[in-house]
Parts: sequence; structure tokens; C-alpha cells
Amino acid sequence: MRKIAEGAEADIYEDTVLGIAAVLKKRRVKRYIEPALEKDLRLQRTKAEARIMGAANMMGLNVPALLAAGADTIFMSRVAGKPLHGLPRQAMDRAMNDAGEILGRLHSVGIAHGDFTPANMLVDASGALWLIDFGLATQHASREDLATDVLLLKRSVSAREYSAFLKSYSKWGGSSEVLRKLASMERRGRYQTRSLETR
Amino acid sequence: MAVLGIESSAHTFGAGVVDGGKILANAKEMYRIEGTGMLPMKAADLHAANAAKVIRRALRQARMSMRDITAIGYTKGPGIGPCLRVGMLAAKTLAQVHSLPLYPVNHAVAHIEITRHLSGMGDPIVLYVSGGNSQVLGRVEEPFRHYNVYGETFDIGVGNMLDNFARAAKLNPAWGSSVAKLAEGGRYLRMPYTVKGMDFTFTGLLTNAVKMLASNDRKDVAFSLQETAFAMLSEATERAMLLARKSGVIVCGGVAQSSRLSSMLEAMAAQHGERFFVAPNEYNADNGAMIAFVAEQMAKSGHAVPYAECTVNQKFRADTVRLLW
Ligand SMILES: Nc1ncnc2c1ncn2[C@@H]1O[C@H](COP(=O)(O)OP(=O)(O)OP(=O)(O)O)[C@@H](O)[C@H]1O
Ligand SMILES: [Mg+2]
Repeated sequence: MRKIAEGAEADIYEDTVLGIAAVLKKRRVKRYIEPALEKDLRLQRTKAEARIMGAANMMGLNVPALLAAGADTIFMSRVAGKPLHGLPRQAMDRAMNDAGEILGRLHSVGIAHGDFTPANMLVDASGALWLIDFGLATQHASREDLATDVLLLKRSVSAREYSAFLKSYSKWGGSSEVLRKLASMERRGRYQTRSLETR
Repeated sequence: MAVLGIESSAHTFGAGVVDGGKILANAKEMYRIEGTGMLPMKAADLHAANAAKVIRRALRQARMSMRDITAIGYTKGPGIGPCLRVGMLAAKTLAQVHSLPLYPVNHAVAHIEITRHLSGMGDPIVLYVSGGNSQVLGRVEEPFRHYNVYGETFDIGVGNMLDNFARAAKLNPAWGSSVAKLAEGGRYLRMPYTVKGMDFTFTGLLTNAVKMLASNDRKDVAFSLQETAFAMLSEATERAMLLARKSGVIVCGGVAQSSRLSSMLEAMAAQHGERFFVAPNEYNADNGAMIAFVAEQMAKSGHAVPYAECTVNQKFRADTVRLLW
């Protein structure tokens, strides 16, 4: 198996499973964390990722299909896509529009992604967006968890990209409540003086 | 050029002297917190009483008089209003009397920059951890050079979280260092672990740990609280380092005095073949030398601020500061 990526948490290998282009995601042991806690985190994140990515896939969303899961490994279908980084303006707007739609659908069933940034998105040849990395996702998410997804995206894209995202995210009926929560989180102080948006 | 730096953002009044990046003096007096926690007006009164003495001591350590000083820096914020104003007034008065340029310094940037200077690293990922703050930062060039906050606490700072736990566990003194002592030899109990991307929250962890005190060995609760909180910080730092492609890890601020946090970050860095650095404790505690250090950088890059614009800002964020060096 060939290693194709090193995430912050996991090594990603490419492979073929029953003729399907697949990737194996294997979480690394973080030797700096107390072993009992580290093992808890590794197993719990793998379990959550498999379960929630599987659920999102069943909803027909653009996420990898779950092929098999072990204690700290997941086999999933390989997305033929590129990172968002450096996409031309129009393609980026399309991607952000897709991101808003996918997040709206996830939020409508109470799923928060937990790390909703462009680093966890890929764009395929047709320009469609795929969402990956459900390791920090939660089911039965609180409104604050949902608002955190939006906040993480807002902080990691430009104002124009964020408004493209909002346009489609706002089509989901529950979005206004989440956005209200987001506004109150931003007022809570930590973010109010962040006057300087860099990206 | 010899620069005098004055720090008074919280319970410490400090004065330091720096000359060409060399630290010549670092004097301080602390307000001792008793029972009730910190009373801002009492601390400010004490700072006012200590100011002249501490500044004189710093000059003596540097073997200098005010005539040798060519610029003055003071902490503009973030911090506690009444405390900040004492340092600002002392700095302004001295600057006016001796006709010296005055430089308002961001407290967090000062902790970061003195640590980066001592580390010899160029562009590391930074974990800044103090009572009220917990942030992961790194230098970014656009739209101008500044420290970008990659992740931070959504609620309380890790220092305040440890202090609160220490109070609930009736530790004396009610500080993080007492939690560390209690934690020695503890066993791990499961606790809530909340990292969202590169951000994190501590209130859920604190509430849970305080509740667990009722039915568990205090030692185990303290151990697990500390391991969980520091692992959250280390993971967020690791993520930011990889995503932002930074080289090297530094930690600074009051909680950087914790040896467990340092050893965790050092192991994290080692796993990626990266260097780790933490400054001696005197620079992680609040101090005047770091203010002098940054003021000298500002002076060298021509960043003088008119006296009238030398104010304090309790919520002065590190990511709003333009770095001209
Ligand atoms: N199903 C997939 N198809 C194609 N590429 C993938 C797939 N899953 C992961 N990758 C690649 O591997 C990289 C890391 O994956 P992922 O984000 O799941 O790992 P991680 O370690 O959890 O990430 P992080 O760095 O966000 O913690 C992705 O950015 C992507 O390039
Ligand atoms: Mg990822």
C-alpha cells in the first residue's frame, strides 16, 4: 500500500478493495498523550468517524463510502478530488455553495462535522465538493456544536467565500437559529475584537 | 540603545532593561492573592506603591541611570484596567520628564517574542497559555505581518480553569502548581475532551472534574484533569503546526511554567522531528524584560507613538498587532 497523505491524526494509504479505489485511514498513536486517554480518543474517533460518515453516505451526500472499519483503521472509498487551495474564483464559489448545502443537510439531522474547514474538503473533476474527515463529528449535536461548524468555516475562508456558503446553508430551515447562536458566540468576547481577518 | 520596559497587566509590577536584545535587568514585585482572589483596586494600589522602587531596582541591576535609557515601553493590554493604568502612567511620566519616545506593547506578543528570541527559532508554532488566555498562534505575512490565532479557547483560559479546580479541591495555594503536585502518581479517569478543529473549551472539563471530587481520589481527579487539558492544548498545537507548516514549537505564558505541559509538547514535537523550546520561568511569569525587548524592536523599526495615543486596552488582542520586525 502506498501512503498518499499524512494528516494531523492519521496516515492515509491508497488501496483497492474488491476492485473499488479505496483509501485506508490509520490513526497514529500519539505518544505524548497519557496512554489510556490516547487509546480512548483513537478508538472513539475511529468509531464516530465510521458511524457518522456511513450515515452521511446513506443520506446521499458527497462523502466517502464506508467499506470496513477496524479499531483504529477505516477503509473508505477514494475520492478522486483535489484540495480547494488555489481554485479559481468561480470554482471556489461553486465549492462553497456545495459546502453550504452539505452542511445544511447534516445539521438538519443533528450531525455536526467538528472540523469543518477547507482542509477537509476535496473538489472532483466535475467541480463538485466532497466532505471528508468525520473524526471529530457528533450525532445529536447541540446548537453550539452546529454553530461551531459555521464559525470554523467562517474563520478559514474569505468574506466572499463565506457569503457563497451562507447562501446555500441558509436554505435549511434551522439555519437561522444556528446563525443566531453563532452571533451570540461571537459576541461572547473571544471573537469580538478579532478585527483583522487575514484570509 | 537601552530600553526600559514596564509591565503591570495583572498581579505583577515589573521593570526590565534590554540593550541590543540583551536582557540586563528584570525586577518585579507581586501582589499576593489571598482567599478572595484578586482585587483589582488593591493590586493597582500596591503597584503604584511599588513602581518607583521596582524601576530603581531594574536600573541598578542594569548598572544604569535614567540618563542611559533611550526609550520606554509599557504594557498596553490585555489585562486588568486599573493595574494597566498604573504602568502606563509611570511610563508616560518618565518618558515626558526625560523626553523619551514611548512604545505601547501587547502583553501576549511580548511573551511570544521574548520566547522566540531566546529559542533562536524563526517561524515556530506558538502555544500561549496564561490565566485568561489560551491560544495557538503563528506568524503570517498577509495582509501585513502579524500573529494569526489558529485556535483558542471558546470559554475560559487554562490557567483560570486550573485555579478554579484548585479552589474547589481546597488546595493551598489555589494555583495550577498545587494541582500539579497533587496529580503526581494519580491514575487516569475518563473526562470530557473537547477539541473543535484547533479550538477547545474548558468549562465542561472543569465542571465534570469538580463533580468527580465527591466520589474519587483527589489525586486521580487532579491527574486526569491535567492530562486531559494539556492533551487538548498539545493536539490543537500539533494540528496548527502541520496545517500552517510551521517549524518548531514554543510555549509561553504563566502556564508554560508547568513541566508536564512542556514535556508533553516536547514529545509531540519530537514525534514530528521538530524542536521544542520553553523559556526559564522568569519570562513566563509576567515581567518587564519582555516589554523592554518588544519596545526595542518597535523602536528599531520606527514605531513611536505620540504620548496622547498611549492608552490602555483591556482586550488588546495579539492578532491586531502589526509586526514591523
Ligand atoms: N476518502 C478519501 N479520498 C481521497 N483522499 C482522501 C480521503 N480521505 C483522506 N484523504 C486525503 O488524506 C488527507 C488527510 O485525511 P483526513 O483529513 O481524513 O486525516 P486526518 O489526519 O484526520 O486529518 P487532519 O489533518 O484534519 O487531522 C486529506 O486531506 C486528503 O488529501
Ligand atoms: Mg483532515
